[in-house]
Amino acid sequence: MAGQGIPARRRPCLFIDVQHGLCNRLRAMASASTFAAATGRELVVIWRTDRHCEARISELLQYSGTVIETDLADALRAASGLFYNYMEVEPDSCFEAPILAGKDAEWRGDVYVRSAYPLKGPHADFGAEQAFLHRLRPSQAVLDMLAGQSRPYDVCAHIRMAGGAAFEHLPYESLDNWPEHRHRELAEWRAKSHRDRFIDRLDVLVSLGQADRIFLAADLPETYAVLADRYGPRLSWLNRDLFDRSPRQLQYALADLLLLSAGTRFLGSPWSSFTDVAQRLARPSRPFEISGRDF
Amino acid sequence: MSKPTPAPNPVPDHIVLISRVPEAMTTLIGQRIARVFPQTRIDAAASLARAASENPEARIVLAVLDPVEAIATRLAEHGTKPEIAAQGANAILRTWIQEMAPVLEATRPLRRRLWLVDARAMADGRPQALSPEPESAAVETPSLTPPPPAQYLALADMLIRSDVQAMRLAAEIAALRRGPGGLPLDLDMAFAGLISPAQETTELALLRETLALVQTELDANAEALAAAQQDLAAQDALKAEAARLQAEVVEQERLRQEVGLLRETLDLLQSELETNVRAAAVAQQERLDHGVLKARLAATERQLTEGEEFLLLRQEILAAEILKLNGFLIDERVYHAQEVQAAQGEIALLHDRLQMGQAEIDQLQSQLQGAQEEIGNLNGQLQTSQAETVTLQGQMQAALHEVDLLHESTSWQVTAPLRAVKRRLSGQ
Repeated sequence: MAGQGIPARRRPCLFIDVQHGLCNRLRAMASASTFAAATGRELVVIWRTDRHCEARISELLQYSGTVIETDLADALRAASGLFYNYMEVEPDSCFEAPILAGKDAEWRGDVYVRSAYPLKGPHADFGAEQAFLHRLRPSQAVLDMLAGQSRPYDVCAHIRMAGGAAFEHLPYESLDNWPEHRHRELAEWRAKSHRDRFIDRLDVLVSLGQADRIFLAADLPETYAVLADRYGPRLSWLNRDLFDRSPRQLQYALADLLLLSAGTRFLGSPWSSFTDVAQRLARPSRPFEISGRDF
Repeated sequence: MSKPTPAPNPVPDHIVLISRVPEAMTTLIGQRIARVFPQTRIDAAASLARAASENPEARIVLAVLDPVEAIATRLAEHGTKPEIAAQGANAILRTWIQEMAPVLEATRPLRRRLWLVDARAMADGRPQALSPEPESAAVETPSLTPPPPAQYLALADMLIRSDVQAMRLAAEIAALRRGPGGLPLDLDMAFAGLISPAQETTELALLRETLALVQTELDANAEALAAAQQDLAAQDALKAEAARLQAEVVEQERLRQEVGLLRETLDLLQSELETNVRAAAVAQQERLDHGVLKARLAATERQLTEGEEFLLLRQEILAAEILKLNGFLIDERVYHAQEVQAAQGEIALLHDRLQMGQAEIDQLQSQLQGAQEEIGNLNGQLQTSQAETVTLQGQMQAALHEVDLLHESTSWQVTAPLRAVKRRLSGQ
């Protein structure tokens, strides 16, 4: 194997085995692209569907890079000379271990990284990550969802409040996805992104005349119902009947993401990769506030 | 040392009896065997070789007299049988040895199916070796020939003990024999049978003492013989041990060579294994590379498809632009045709002017050529003048030198006053 003295007859690769939900995967991809470019490696995205993301990458993006969607990835992982695993609940993991740092920097072969998070290390480059994210092109199905939506909006809001004991039966909210202390953190932050906080803040912005057009992305049907009832025609959203991790729902999620990036002001949820990416896809220095911290 | 009790014999289907005793005793023995094995077929044979060859599956029963009884019987017959009368005791012993040795030799290959029994014990009805029945007392058979007198038994016993070969044969018979055998030996009875108390004389007393001494000597010889046999056995054991050790050394050497070969084989197998492992690793890496390259090819195909779509879009856009430009160009063409015509006129004019300029240039060139020729001539003249100048300069220098010489001459200096007067007179 490449790690056993058998040279690969190709350019060395940086395999990024993206984990968890849509935005976790996008951030990990963007981060890995900077490491690959800085070290002269080809970026190969390992995108396998699971309970967190049931959509294939081609269903969400027109991505022209190299993608592996099969369990060939496991053999590549075994054959790679360097392996990093950021997934804390898995054995032999080391969360946020610096990638290709120190003695590892001398390695010239394949590198395999398994992560749901941005990579840490000497080759991290936020600007390059931003460029990567902004170059991503949505699939036609996602583009079709955007048709008819008139942008920009005065305020965009992302309300992520599904979490904690009531939702642990869902596979992507299950206790075995994170260590216990992280799960506690998540539950605390989810409690701070209750829709009532957003309603209070939106009411203020409406009274100031700064929220004539509001776009909403939420993870619960009740949230859409309550806000639609309160704000009437001011409110826009992508109408759906799916609140899972199915391919169609994830297409809606990506469309939501793009629409959230088009707001003049952004109200986001804490400890949410979706909020993070929505802000990163917006113009630089767009004003944004985080529930539980800023309101 | 008592012999171990033999296991009960399996019932043979067929028995062949060979007997080296008188016929009457042989008949009795056959009857005893038939009683022990009522369902078994019983035949007789004259020799062991014949019995073995003609009855390959049969059990062979060899009935012989105990060596002491056999020799004692012959000794007892010494006085009655002429063929024995001429022989001494040692000769009788030698005869017995010569008869029994080949018989025992012939039994060796047949040991597995041979039962050697004491003829008298069988005839007496003591066939316990053949029978699973518990040991019982002998059945008295009045017709059986009585054993020889005790004195002959004693003498026979002494003769056997005095000869190594006879001892060996007797021991072999005792070892092979199944069941009881041999007659009790009572020396006192034997001695009493030789001499009656009323006829005991000093000479007989001496004979008695001599006999005791001989017996003692015989016992000592027997002990020495046993010791020698033990030594011989020990030597044989040592030889066997040496042979065993030698065989072990040979075996160890063979094993050492075998281990060496096995090590070489192991090394070869190890090398082959390493080669196979490396080949497998190379194949696995190639398989992985193939997977990555296949994914890259798919990405490239996607890029090509996108590129083709983009090109198609671009072509459509360009086609629309071309159509738009085409209309514009038609208008422009008319306008530019006029421009072209004007430009063409101007070009003709410029062409004429160019031609005129060219003629002027030709004229100037011819003038230039004339001027150059003249310059050449003048240069020649100049060179000539320069040469004349040099010549004249030389002449001038020579003249000046002459003048200097003249001025320096004595006549000039002497005539200086005269020239002065002349100048004064001429008003200079």
